[in-house]
Amino acid sequence: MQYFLRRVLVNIPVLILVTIVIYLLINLAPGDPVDFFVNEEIGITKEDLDFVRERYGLDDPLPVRYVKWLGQVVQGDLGFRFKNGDDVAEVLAVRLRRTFLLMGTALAIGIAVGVTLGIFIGLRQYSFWDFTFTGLSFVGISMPAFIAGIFGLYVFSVKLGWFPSGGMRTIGKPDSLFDLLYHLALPAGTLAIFNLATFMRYTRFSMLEVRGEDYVRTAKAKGLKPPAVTWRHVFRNALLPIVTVVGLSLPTLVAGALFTETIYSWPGMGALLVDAVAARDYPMVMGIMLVTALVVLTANLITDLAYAVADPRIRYE
Amino acid sequence: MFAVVLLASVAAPLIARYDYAALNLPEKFQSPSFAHFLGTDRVGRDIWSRTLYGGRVSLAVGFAAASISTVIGVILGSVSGYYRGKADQVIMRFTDVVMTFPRVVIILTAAIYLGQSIASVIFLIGIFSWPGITRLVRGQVLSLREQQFVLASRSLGAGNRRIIITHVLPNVVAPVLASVTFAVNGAILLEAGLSFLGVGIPLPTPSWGNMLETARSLDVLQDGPWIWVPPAIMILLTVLSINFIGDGLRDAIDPRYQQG
Amino acid sequence: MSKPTLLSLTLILAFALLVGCTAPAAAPAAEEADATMAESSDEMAEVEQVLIGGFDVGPGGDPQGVLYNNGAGNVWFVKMFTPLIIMDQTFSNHTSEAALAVSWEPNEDATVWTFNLREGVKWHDGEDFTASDLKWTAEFVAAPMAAVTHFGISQPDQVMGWTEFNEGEADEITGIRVVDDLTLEVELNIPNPRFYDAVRAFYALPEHAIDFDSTEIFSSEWWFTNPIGTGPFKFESFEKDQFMSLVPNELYWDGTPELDQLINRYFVDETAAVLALESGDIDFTYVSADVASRFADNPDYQIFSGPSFVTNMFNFNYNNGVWADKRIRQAFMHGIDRASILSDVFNGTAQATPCHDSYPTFWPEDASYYEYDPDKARELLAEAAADGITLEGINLDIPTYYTSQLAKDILTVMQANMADIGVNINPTFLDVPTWRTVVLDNAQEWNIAYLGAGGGPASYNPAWYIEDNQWGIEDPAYADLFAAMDAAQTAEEYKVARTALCKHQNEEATMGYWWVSTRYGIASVDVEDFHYFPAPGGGPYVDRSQDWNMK
Repeated sequence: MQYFLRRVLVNIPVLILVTIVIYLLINLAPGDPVDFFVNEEIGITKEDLDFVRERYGLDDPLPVRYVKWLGQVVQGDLGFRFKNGDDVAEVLAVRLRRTFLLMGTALAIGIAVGVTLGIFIGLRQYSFWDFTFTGLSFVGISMPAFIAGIFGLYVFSVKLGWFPSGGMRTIGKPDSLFDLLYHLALPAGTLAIFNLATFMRYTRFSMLEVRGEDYVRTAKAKGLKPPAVTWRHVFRNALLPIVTVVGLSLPTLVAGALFTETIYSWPGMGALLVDAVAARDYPMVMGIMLVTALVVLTANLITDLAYAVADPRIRYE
Repeated sequence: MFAVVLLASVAAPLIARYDYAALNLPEKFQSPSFAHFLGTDRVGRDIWSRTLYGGRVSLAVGFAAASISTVIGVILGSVSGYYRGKADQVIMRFTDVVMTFPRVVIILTAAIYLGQSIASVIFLIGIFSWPGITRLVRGQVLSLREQQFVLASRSLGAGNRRIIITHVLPNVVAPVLASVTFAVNGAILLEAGLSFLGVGIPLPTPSWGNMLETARSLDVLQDGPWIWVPPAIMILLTVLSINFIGDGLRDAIDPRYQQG
Repeated sequence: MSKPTLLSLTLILAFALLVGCTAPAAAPAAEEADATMAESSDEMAEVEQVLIGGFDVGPGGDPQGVLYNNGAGNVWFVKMFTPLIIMDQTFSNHTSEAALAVSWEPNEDATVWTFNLREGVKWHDGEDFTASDLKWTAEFVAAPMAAVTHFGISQPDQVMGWTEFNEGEADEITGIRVVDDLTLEVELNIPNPRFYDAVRAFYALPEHAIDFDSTEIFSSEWWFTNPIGTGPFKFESFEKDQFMSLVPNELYWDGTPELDQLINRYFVDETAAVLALESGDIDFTYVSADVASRFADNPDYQIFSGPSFVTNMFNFNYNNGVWADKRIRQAFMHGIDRASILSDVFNGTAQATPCHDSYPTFWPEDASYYEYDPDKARELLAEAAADGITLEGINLDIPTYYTSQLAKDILTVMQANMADIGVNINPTFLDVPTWRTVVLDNAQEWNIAYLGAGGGPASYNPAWYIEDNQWGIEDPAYADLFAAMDAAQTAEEYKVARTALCKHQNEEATMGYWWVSTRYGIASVDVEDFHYFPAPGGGPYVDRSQDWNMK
């Protein structure tokens, strides 16, 4: 408990440090928010741009802008988008919900199926099933997400007509849970394949690793039945890397998946970040980064705590 | 299998029948034929040659980036997990910070300062991928350092460095190998994405990633599978090979497994 | 922990995640569903005519944009709002048609323009539209703190009193005068016989219905909750990032539209829109040239196409290096196999252009298209080298913001062509803000940029070529050529002057002018009397959306 509190407290300066670094990086990146207001075909004077710049407070020196931003954030105000004046916090709330749904489903499927298959083939190394599942899952990950998405749409929507061609609901039809799941199936399925491959690999490797350990052999020698050995000893100890990988995957729940969201017209966080970066929309970018950083830090903390649960020998003083 | 992939890439100049950059507009977008084993792309370049040469770039990027991140990850992870305390705190908080870095923004900035080259691609991918491996290794080491054989050798007076090298590292090989597989695969695919943001491999050098990326265009995806299927298969073979090598390697390193 | 515990833990975790996520997302939507269901069940008897399109896909479209925001989304906004005058259907003659104004004429020296407005135009809420709405709109968007960079009137400083008002020194724009309810007068600082070209995007906003301040133009929710216009369709509903739905405006002056619903679905990616079109989920979308050919022989689709009115060129940076030497520039023109690029890479979806101007009307008949001639290119380079002018040691990275596969293919061919004559160019693909930083802010570091430039058929920004231009072009001929254009009184005189300018650019190869590409819109054959046109800046143009109907 004390460890937990200390970690939470340590995370506060880390978070501030992170925002400073990110703020610096964004401002260091080439491009200027006022570029969004420029249209070559119309012709805009430098005065116009200076005016826009002043209006958004971009004429202040960098440290001043950062302190202003931080001051607002502390008061719970994430500011407004340069691009269209939207409230950053509101945009985040909407987008987070969508991304969480998509990534959560994909991660859940990935963990459930991946770990199960990983155990299955981990117990049957070099068997037919081992090669089949390994091969299939690698087909999935050897393709860029974007191409996989186009492929998914092309096959299941255009050719077979089983699923809608992206979007989150059928326009003109009443909204329903079924409709949402219907639209969720393809993008979540595409993402799940990648998660599945990841979890299957780590599980399989860990299973193989611990099977050779002394205590497993001891357990077998004691006359425990194979399934009992598997569950009580092998899987238990293979859990550690899986916990780490789950922890590493948690941030994707809020970061989203750019290419999958883009091709399936699922307007989530991944697409939002790219949109915000493309417009050099600093308040939006900072808002996204703040949430992401928070989740990364929290996920890492949870992972560390989960180690102690998975393996009681690990203690935090 | 891997030897074949590697050899094909290394020996590309001997096997390739055309210059990978040689245009031949009258013969563009042709399906496989005797003249072009794997057909030609939209500007008439030979896919067979481009696949072979593309392997050089992709394998270099994949392995170099994966090596950088793995080496950093294993060192930081084992130090952090084994010594605990201050070292752990500092390394892990640093890892936290790096994990929160916005990739797109860094890549955009790098586009200006680094420019287009294989080296900048490797560097960029390498610096993004190590925190995951660090955390993975650390998690394993945290558990290992409490295990009997480690405690035993410590009580026998073995030095920390010796314990890490002889006892701890062999036991983190499995998850590390799994992550290397994904790191190589990820680097090969990510490379193509970078070229949209001004850092990637300069034209007209082929890579499996940028060949595969042409399938973004629907007519290539649908009507020109010979353009993107070969690099996809090469990536698949590479990743599978690494995976099997990993399997073999851990069998060899881990003597206990051979009995079990 | 035992086996069942772990198994169930995994399952529970998966299930909880799923349920946890779906519940909040589904709840608010369910309420809406009840409302729409009640409404639609009455009309279910006859088949509803619903057209769903990707109207904001492609260049110029911006689902998050609002009117007077960077000119985005004209294709969509013209359904709800109406400009003063409007481009004709295909803009082939570059003429304007009546919209809110039915006729317009200048006084003798073209300093005062009178616009006679249409009778019987009503806002969506039933109020009458009058000339004072237009004056109010001009002042609303030109207000000092509005920070609107696109004013609907291009080069607005030519309007008398505009600058004073914009700078906060006057209470009104004195040059815009309401003569009576149906007559608007605009007085200019300078004579402009082609002022009509400047007001095509001058949409009217309703003074009585706008409840927000000028400074909130970009941020007001009004645009997405209760916008009021004078167009054929009126607002029904909006789902952020997903779609906007419109219904017919029964008060429309040219009759009630036939469609029962017109929906704009938003896509982040063009490929996604094309796949939605192919799967039958939408009826229309913009597509790029390389995709359009997929639909060419398909009887299920109708293709709409037109030039992009954007000239793609190599922008030579005269501030650096060797570009003042004509031989170097011409070596590029002869060294690159433009004809093959047009026929084999563009597959005929682009047209060679002789000069900066993207309107073929102004292209001289005897223009040179610089035949592909690598020997001549080498000769030109050698001659220049003999005078000590070479490309050696010069940075020939070519920054561009075109990142499509088509652009990569084009630049690949250019790179190979130039390599044949011993010049190594290196295209670099950048996102737009990065490109702007590289090209505009660090002009000393690059020599060639690949870009596109557009303009109006009756206005031409001289900033590229005359004195103190940012690319360092020092060609005294340009001042006279532009002056001649400004002085032209009749359309014929203007054409002669602008053609002469084109001719000079062509002869000098001041920049490497390459081509104007074709843009496409694809609609399903189920949509009848449909019209789309890739107008400059997205329009607005006459599309007669009131006649659109579904088979």
